[in-house]
Amino acid sequence: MIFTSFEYVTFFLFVYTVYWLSGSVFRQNLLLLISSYLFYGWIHPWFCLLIATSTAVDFLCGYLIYSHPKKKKLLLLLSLCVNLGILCYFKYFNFFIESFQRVLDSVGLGLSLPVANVLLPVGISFYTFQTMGYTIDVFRGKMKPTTDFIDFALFVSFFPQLVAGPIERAARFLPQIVQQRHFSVKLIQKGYPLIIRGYLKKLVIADNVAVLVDKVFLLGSPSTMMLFAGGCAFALQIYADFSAYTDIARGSARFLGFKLSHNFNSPYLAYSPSDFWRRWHMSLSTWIRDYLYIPLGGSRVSSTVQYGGVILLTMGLVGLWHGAANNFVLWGLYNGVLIFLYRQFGLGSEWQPQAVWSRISSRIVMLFFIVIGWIIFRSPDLIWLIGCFNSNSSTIGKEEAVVTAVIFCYIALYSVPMVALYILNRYFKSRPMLNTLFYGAAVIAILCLSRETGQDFIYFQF
Amino acid sequence: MNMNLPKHPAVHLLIIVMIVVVANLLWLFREDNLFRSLDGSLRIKLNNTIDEKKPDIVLLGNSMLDEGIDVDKFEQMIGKPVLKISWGGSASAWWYLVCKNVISQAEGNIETVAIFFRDSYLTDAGRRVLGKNRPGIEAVSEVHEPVLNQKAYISQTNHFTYLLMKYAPLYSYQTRIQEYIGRLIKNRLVGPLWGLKPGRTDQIIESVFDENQMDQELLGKRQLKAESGYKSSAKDFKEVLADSFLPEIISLLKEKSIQPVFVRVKRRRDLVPGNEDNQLKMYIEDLANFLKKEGAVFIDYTGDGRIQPQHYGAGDHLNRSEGRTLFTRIVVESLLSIDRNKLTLEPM
Repeated sequence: MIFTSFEYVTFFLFVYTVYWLSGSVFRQNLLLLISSYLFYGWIHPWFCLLIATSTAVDFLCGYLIYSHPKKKKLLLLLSLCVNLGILCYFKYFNFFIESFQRVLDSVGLGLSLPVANVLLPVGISFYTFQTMGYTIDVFRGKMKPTTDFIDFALFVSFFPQLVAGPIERAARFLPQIVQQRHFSVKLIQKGYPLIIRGYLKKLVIADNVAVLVDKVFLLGSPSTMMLFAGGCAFALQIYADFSAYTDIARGSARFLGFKLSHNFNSPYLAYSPSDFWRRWHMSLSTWIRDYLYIPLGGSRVSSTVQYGGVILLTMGLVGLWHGAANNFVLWGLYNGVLIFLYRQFGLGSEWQPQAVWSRISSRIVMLFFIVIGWIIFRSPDLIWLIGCFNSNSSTIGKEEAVVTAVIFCYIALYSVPMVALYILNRYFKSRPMLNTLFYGAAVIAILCLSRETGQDFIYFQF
Repeated sequence: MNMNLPKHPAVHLLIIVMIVVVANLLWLFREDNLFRSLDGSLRIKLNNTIDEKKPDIVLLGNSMLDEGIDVDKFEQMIGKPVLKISWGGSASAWWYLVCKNVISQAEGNIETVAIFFRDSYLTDAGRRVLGKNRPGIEAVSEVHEPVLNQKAYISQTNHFTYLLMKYAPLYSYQTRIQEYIGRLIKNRLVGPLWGLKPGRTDQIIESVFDENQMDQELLGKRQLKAESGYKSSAKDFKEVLADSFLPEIISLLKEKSIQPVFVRVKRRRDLVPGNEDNQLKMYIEDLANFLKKEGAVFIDYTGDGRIQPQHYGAGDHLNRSEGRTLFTRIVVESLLSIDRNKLTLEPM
C-alpha cells in the first residue's frame, strides 16, 4: 500500500478511528499489529511470512540471549544468520550469481548457474536492520528483552515506518509501544503539517522532477553538462521523495501517538562528507556507525591504511544495502573515498569552517561532490556511465544547452517549496498563522501541480 | 502576521480548508478561464474534417498507426477516400470518443473503420486517460460523457479522485496548469536567452529526447518493466470486457452500418516467434472469438513474417521508409480481401 494512494488514506482513517475507540493499550497494539500485516501484505500476502519469521527468530533469540548468557554468542549468530540469510537470498542472491557468472564467462568456463526467480520484498532491508539492532542491543546488555510478543511484533512491523524507515531503535521505540496513549488534539496539530509536507514533496516535487530525470538517464550518450543537470535534478528528486516518505511516516505515527526519529537535517547544507552522512538518512547512518563502523574499529584506528580499509568496507556495505547492483556499491565506495580524503586533509568529522566565505564555499564544493555521487547512484548501470564519460560529449551544442537550461529552471521552480519549508522551520516556527497559510498554499500546490500518474517511492526498492 | 489565533488545531485546519475552497471557487468563477476554450477543440476540428472529406474508410489509432501507414498511398491503392485519425499515446478511451463524437456524427457514408491497437489496449479502459493524456481526452469529449467517466475514471481510480476531477477545478485543470507553467519556462524564460521563437524550445526538447536518442536497450527494458508491473487482470479478456469501451465501440459503428475492423499491430517483441506470454495468447484467442461473434473483422499481424527487423524504427514503431511502405501495402491487401469476400479474417 502506497502512502499517496486512496487506499492508504481510507485504510489510515479506518485504523485511526478504531484505534482511538479501542481503549486499552493491548487492544490498540493488537489492532496496529493486524493493520501493519494487512498493510504489508496488501499486494503480496506472502511477504508477511518473511517478516513473521524475522520477528519470531529475534524475539526468541533476544529472550534466550538474556536468559542463557553462556550461549549468547551462538544465539546472536543464529539471529544474524537467519536475518542476513533472508536478506541475502531475496536481495543479493541473483546479483552475486550473475557477477560470478560473468567471472566464469570471462575465463571461458561455460557453466550456467541457476538464477532465483524471486520478487524483492519491499522494505526488507529496513525491518531486517531494525530487528537485528534489537538482538545486538540485548546481546550487548544495553537493554532487556521484551517478553510480550505482540509488542515486539509491532516494533518490527509498525506500518508507518515499515517499508522505508526511519529505522527505529528498540530502546527508543519499544517503551512507546508499551506506554498508555491517549487521544489529544495536539497529536493532530503535530501530525497534519508533516503529512501535508510529505504529500507536497512527493506529489509536487519528486514526481514532477522524476520525469526529467528519467529522460536524461535514458539517453544513449548525454553530454557531461546534461548528465550534471540530470544529477542535480535527481538530487532534488531523491531528497524530496525519501524525506516525503519519512514525513508522512512521522505524521501518521504522530496521529497514533508515536514519535518516530528524524531522518534528515538539511543534508545539502553539509560542509563535508562526514557532515553529509550525519544529515542524510540519519537512522541508517547511525545504525551503521553503531553496529558496523565502531565494532570494526573505525573510531579507534590510528593508522591511515587501517582507517581507509574500515571506511571503504563500511561505505561499500552502505552502498550494497541500497541495492544489489554495481553502481550502488561504487556509490558507497565513492562516499568512503571522499570521507577518507577529507580526513587526510584535516577536514574530518569534527571539522566546521568558521568564516562565512569558507562555509559557503565548502557547502558548494560538497554539494558538487554529492551530485556526482547521485549520478553514479542513478545511472542505469556502470557500462552506461563509463560510456557517457568515454564518449566525446564534453562539448555542448546549442540544443543541449537549451534543454539543460530548461532542466535547471525546473529544478529552481521545484526547489522553491523545499527552500520555503527550510525558512519556515528555521525562522518562523513560532508563527502559527504563517505556518497555516503555508500549508494552505501547499494543499493548493498539491491540487494543481501533482501528477496523476505518479511513481512509487524510490526507497521502496531498498 | 503575529495574530492571536486560537491554538486549537481545528481552527488551523479550517483555515487551510477555506483557503483551498476559496482558491478553487475563484478559479471556477473566472470569466475568462485560461484554459476553458481548449475543451472539445479537436472534436470540432475533426467533425469539420470528416464532413469535408467524406471518407469511405477511417483509420483510427495511435503512433503505431501514425508511423506505420502512409495515408496518401493507402488512398491510391484502395481507390477510396480515406481519413487517418491518430493521436500519439492514445488508447481505447480516446478511440471510443472519436467513434462516438466524430465518426457517428459524420454526414457521409463511412463503410469501414479500422482501429489499430497493441496487445490488450482495446479493452484497457483506464489506459492513457490521466495526467498528460487528459487534455487529449477532453479535446474530443462532449460536455457530458457518462460512459467515459464511469469506465475510464470511476472504475479505474476512485470516487474521491473523480469528485476532485469534477468539483475541484484546480485539480481538474492540473495538467493544463502544468503545461502553462512549462510554456512560461520554455518560451518566456529560456527561449529568449537563445533568441528562440515560441514553440521552438519544445521542438528542441523533443529532438534531444527523441526515442532515437535513447539507449535502445534501456528503453526496451523500461517498456518491459512497465508492462510486467501492469495488473494481470488487464489480460483476462472475459473479466475486463464489460468494463471496457469495446462493446460500445462496436455497437456505435454497427448502428451506423459501419464495418468495424480491428488491426493488431506487430511489435518488435513479436519478431521472435512465441515471445508473447501465455496469458496474452489466451486473451487474443478470446478477443478473436468475441469479435467474430459480433461480426467485426480481426486482423492480427503479430505473426506476419513479411514484417522484419529492418522495418522497425524507434521502439515498436515501423520506420518511415521501408516499414511504412510495406505495412501500408499489406493492410490495403487485407482490407480489399474483406471487401471482396465480406468474410471475417482469421488471425494470420
